[in-house]
Amino acid sequence: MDMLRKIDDYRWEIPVDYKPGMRVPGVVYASEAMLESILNDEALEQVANVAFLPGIVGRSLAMPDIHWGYGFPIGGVAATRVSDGVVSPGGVGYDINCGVRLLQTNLTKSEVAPRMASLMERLFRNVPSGVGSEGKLHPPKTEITRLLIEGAHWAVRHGFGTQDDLDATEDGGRIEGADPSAVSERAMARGLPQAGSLGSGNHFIEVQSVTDIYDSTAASAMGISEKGQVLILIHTGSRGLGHQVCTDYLKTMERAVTRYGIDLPDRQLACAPVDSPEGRQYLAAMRCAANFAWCNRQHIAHWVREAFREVFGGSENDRGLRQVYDVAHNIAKIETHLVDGRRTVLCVHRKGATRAFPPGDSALSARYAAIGQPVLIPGDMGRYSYVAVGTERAMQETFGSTCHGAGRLLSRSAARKSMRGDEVEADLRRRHIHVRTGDVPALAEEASPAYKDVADVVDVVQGAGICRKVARAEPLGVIKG
Amino acid sequence: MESKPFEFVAHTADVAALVRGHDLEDVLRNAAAAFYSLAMGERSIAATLCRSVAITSVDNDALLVDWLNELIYLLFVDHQAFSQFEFDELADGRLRVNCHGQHLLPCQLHLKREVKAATYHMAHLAPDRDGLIARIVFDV
Repeated sequence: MDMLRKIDDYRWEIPVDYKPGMRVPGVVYASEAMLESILNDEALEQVANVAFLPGIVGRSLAMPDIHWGYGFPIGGVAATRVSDGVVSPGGVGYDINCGVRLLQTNLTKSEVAPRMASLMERLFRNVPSGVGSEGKLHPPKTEITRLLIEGAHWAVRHGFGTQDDLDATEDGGRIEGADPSAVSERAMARGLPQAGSLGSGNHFIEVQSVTDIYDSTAASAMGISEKGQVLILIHTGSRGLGHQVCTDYLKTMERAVTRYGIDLPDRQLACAPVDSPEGRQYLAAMRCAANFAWCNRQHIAHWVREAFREVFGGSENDRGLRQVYDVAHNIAKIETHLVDGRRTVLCVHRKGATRAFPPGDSALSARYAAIGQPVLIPGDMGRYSYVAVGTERAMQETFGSTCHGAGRLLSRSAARKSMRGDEVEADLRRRHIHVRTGDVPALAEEASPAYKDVADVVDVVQGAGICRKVARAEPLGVIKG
Repeated sequence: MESKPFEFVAHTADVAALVRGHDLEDVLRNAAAAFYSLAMGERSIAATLCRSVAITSVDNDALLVDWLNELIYLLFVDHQAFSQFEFDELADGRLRVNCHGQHLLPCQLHLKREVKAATYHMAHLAPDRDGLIARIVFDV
């Protein structure tokens, strides 16, 4: 606790003099009750380390789902000036544009429950998943460059979804400035066979039903109208392509820190000036990986829709499956924010954090102009997830960012020691939550006790005013990779 | 009692390993064994294939990480795993090594865990009672 100074019930400061070399203070969003687990590992040291980055402005921020990562903490946000600041691949992570996509349906829990077994089977069959899973796309070589530039647009252009999906995706599902020539042959070889796959670890497809609506106006804009309504949440990222882009550029940045005379407390924070050959190349490659991830989630959403059509039949109007939103959790974006009262162009790193722009922001489509950007906050597979919206306070305090999920509480090995995967599966079934996975023992790593209660996390971000709750949903079934 | 060549230790988000060795060569061998244990479980790897690997890094700490990232790539992309290593050169962040192992057919692959990368976080070779020790955090 010595390193933290309480600001209010939701904010704690790591003073700028906590470590020599910090350029700005750190701010951790958390309740007092959550601090015990946060203080258990190295996460707060990582918040302080991020404050060393040249050009960092405001605060080195940590959301309440913070936990120990590598370099940056998971749940970290840091903004650096584009003019004289750095970009750090470790501030994005290996799974570039890991993110979530939410679809609503026009079906209710009582309509879906009798067919859950066949729905789960169909989803499991339609969407490749598991360790090293290869996708169903096999894009021809001539199309790869276009896929990396166009992102989700590439998928829609090939019949996987509609313009309405793109309008409900961060950056329209395509971040500008992607340059495939910045992506190594290795990254291509590692990632392209996985185009159109869920992967493993904490990636999932979850069938949910709405339990609570807190803001009916915002919920209505999202197509969420009643308790019991069924939603689908998809969580995956850029697969091996993103992993290799990060690996490649961290090696580049290792040399860059010497070239540019940058002093860092952790090598995983390796970085280069945003406006340098290394920085520009990394951003160009990272954007390709981000577009690959949006394309990936676009295809998976299409296969989810196919599964619903096959199981429930009826018309498109009967089933719904309109996209609510798609947000990135791991990304670096060039955005303009107010810093000390002046509009400043920044490189905003969100590492396990979600963009949360307010009503009226020009980045939002007309559908969400009045309510703000939808924010999707998955919990664990045994409890619940939240849908929220961005706020003006987030723009003022966190560069328009909020939390991205529950945050791990137990290490994977500790989770496996305390639970067995088959027991987790049996417990979920007793609670009428269907599970389909190719790796039952791994369920222990993703069970509820391994995660913070996402309700506590959301209470903090709502209390702090950096997003606002709209609805809560509980799981009916989960596909784990 | 002799120290274990590697052991997995707690890390909240990912998987951390402590790797020991009499010298750098030994640490690199044991780090490879730790990675294969994590990704494939405890299984034997035949030596029916030889592949040369050369890496240049900024120093030996980075070399350890870059070495593991090379093995990660070769397993997840080329489906090759290695169990024996003959080092031709190993000093000052450079290595040239002949890796002996096997190509795994899809039916033999049975990967236990997707390993995205070995990270530079806390990666530091330090003197230990029996030689050297290093901590590696794998992103999984």
